[in-house]
Amino acid sequence: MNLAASNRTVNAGLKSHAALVYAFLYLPILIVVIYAFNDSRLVQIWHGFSTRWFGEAWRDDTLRNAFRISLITATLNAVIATILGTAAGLALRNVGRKTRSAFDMFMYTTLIVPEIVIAIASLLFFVTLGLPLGPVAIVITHSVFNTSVVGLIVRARLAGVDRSLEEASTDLGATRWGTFYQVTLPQLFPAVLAGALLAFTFSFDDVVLSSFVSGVGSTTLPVEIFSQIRFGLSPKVNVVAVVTLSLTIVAIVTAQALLRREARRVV
Amino acid sequence: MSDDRWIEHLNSLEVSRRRLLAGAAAAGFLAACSRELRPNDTGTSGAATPGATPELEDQLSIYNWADYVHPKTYGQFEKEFDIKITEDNYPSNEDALAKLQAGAKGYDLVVPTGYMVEIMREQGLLMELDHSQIPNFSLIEDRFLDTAADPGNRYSVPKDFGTTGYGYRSKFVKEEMSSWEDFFRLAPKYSGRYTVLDSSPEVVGSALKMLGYSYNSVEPKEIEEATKELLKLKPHVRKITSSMREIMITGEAYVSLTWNGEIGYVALDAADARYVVPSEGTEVWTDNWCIVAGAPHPAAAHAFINWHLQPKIQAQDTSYHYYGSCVEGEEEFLKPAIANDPAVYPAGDVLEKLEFAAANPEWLRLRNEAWTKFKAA
Amino acid sequence: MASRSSVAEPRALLLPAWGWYSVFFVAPLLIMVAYSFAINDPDRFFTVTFGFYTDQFQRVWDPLYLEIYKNTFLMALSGTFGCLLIGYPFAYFLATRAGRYKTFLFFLVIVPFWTSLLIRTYAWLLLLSENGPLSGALQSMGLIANPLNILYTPISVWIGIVYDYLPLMVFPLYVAIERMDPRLKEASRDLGAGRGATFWKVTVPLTMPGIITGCLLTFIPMTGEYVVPEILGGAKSYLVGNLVANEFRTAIDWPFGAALSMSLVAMMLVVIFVYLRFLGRRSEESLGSFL
Repeated sequence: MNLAASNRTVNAGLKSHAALVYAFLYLPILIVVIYAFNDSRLVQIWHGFSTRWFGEAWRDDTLRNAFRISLITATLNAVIATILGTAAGLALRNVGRKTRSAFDMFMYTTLIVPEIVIAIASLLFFVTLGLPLGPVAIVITHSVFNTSVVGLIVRARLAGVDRSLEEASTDLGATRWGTFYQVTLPQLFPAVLAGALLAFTFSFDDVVLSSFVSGVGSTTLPVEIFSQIRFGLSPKVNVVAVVTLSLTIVAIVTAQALLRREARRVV
Repeated sequence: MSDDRWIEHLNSLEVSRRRLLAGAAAAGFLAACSRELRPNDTGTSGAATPGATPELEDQLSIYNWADYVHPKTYGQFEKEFDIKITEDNYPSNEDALAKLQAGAKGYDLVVPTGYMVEIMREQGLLMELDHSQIPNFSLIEDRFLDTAADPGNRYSVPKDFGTTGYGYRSKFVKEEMSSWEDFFRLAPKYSGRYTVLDSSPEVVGSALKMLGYSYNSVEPKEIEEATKELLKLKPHVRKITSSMREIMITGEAYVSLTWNGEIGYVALDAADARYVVPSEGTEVWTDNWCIVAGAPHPAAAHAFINWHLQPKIQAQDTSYHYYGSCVEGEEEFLKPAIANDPAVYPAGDVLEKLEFAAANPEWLRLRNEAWTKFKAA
Repeated sequence: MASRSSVAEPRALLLPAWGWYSVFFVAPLLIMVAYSFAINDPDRFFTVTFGFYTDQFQRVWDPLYLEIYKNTFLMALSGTFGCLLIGYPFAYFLATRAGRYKTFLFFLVIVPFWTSLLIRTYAWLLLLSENGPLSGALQSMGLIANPLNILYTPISVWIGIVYDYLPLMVFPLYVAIERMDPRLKEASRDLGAGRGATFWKVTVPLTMPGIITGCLLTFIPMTGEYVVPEILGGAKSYLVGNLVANEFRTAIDWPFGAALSMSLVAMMLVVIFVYLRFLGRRSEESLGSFL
């Protein structure tokens, strides 16, 4: 087989494989979205188009309350994670290599250790020290790994920031804070925002950590859905899936847009 | 538990008009009965007690199994006492225990099964009851009182009782099943169509009873034999779940090791569903109202327990969840179909043969180990 | 870049995060270690005595539990392998054949990944169900005779974990393949090597850091999986994650659960140690690729 023909075969093969993979990745999500509009209580059987389950889900007090709890904890967690992570990312530019490696290890470890391990360790922590489980515990537990997420993003972005601008600013007499505020921060801001959005999303979607450290009346949406999924398929769960997916996709798209925009602005 | 769910259930399942009318008739029947037959039970609990009745708080927080009171029940109490009720759910006794042990605060009432009452009591998680606030306690049948788990009922008041057996869809299972032996023997034939509860005492207990041992055996040899039987069963099990109603209704599962009320629910949509109290014997249990230690609203909690013991409220709940009441006189308020249903009210001689679960650390440890073997198989 | 630029932020800014990690990450893990060396009072329910007992770890070293670890690793290995098989050609396509659309197509892979794992797993519950759309479609296409019955089996668990972690494999692979100098491949061809030989002798070794990173990033979380076996396995596929959760939730045997957890962490540390040794400095750039 000559080179051109074998090239085409390989290309065709790779392309169709890629198409299949995209189908594999998106098909289940699409099915869930479609079935959220299914006008039948028996989830698997298509009965006609309807938006009634959205109304049903909204009227469900338990779901609404869980949604509220998730929004609150995810937001608080994002605030904490963003502050801690951005500060860390900034400081990491300026520390010695040993410190940086040690802190790096911290960050990666919080991301790599399986959630179930962190969940039970956190449970033991709160219970043993007599601290209450609940929204505060949820926020704290989530914010640990989200700090790493923000930290890594900020650090990666800072690596691409041109120091000469900052140095010029200092040379021209600006204070450290002034330089930060007027030169560094504007360049950093999209990355910080992207980090915050991701931190929010991860917390909002989290099920393992939340189910172990939640307390009275502080069930988050994913935990509530998880317990309903144990019953099996349910139209209301489909609705929650669609809403959660939409929220997440908006957050991700925005975050990515922010990061991409920053990358393109090469000074 | 919202009315919406009940309405949804009625609406979306092509409930025949005949059934709707029957339901309306039953409701009317109940209403009529309650006015004619029990003129004394005007439903003012707590206040019937002469002497010091503590002032009732305005809130009540209940930690309960899901779907375990009639949708109207809480509303009726709320209106009568002007107390706001909130409910959180748990899927198993152990879940409730784990949460309470981990220091979850804010709950007033919890509804553990008998053996769990003992465990929670031993852990100091329950408040001793003030029976002077629960005069309706006298309505409860003696056979459900003063069990080994809580002598003297110092910590618990039976809410309802039930049995742990199995249900099957006679539409799909051609044999007539009546024993644990049937259950285990037919598994290979209907492989992949079985479910069992996600709970070790019941599942291990079923094997023990089939082998002729006590439900509460702590003999390692007997537990080992039971485990062997369970390992033989495992490949045929479709799902290990305590929420098997849906898949029994859709016919995805044919046979489920479960509690009697669950099958009652299934039978609403799948009339061919049958519940079996296995002939070798099995567990009888009570679920009990208990007040959590440190409950923020103890007076309201006592008031609720007392109010809930009224036969007509008991009947209302039974007609929803299909678990029998421990209170005398409930049958008069029930539809005959339910009152005479042997799944809800097993005959006296059948009940005699059943065992209450009796937990102790060794009992628990052996079952947990067997359970791990079962799950890991 | 070790210069302490006067323009940079104070190093003290590192302290808040450091403190946060120490208190809410390290301390909990230490407490878990303490529990793993504790024992249960045999006469009372759920009463823990602290000390330095190795009882729990001895219990872990029992064929029953070792079997569960083994099954978990096998599942994680086969899942990782599945991700690699599916992911490599896919990443290769993205990196070398996607042209103008490269960024967009890569982005399309990121989106599902960042969405809720629970939702994505649930989606398979719907898709694979007996009376669900896939079953119906396959039956009407004549590919299967009876309704689809792979739910609640190890297969469905495998599908679930491959689906959930595939992007984690694709990202480092993509980065590694993209960074590869295409001229090396050309040189290989010019020297007469066939396509296959070029692939195995040039491409694969050059992208090996990406392969190894991808395998690590998928293998490790897979070993701790808890949600997928519960939902898609019908609570029958018992992996270490489920076992640990059971010890905490149901058996309420905290010391034992802690020991099981510690054992898992220990095994993972070995894996990571080997990884870092093998890759050295190149590990950092690979790991950063998925952000």
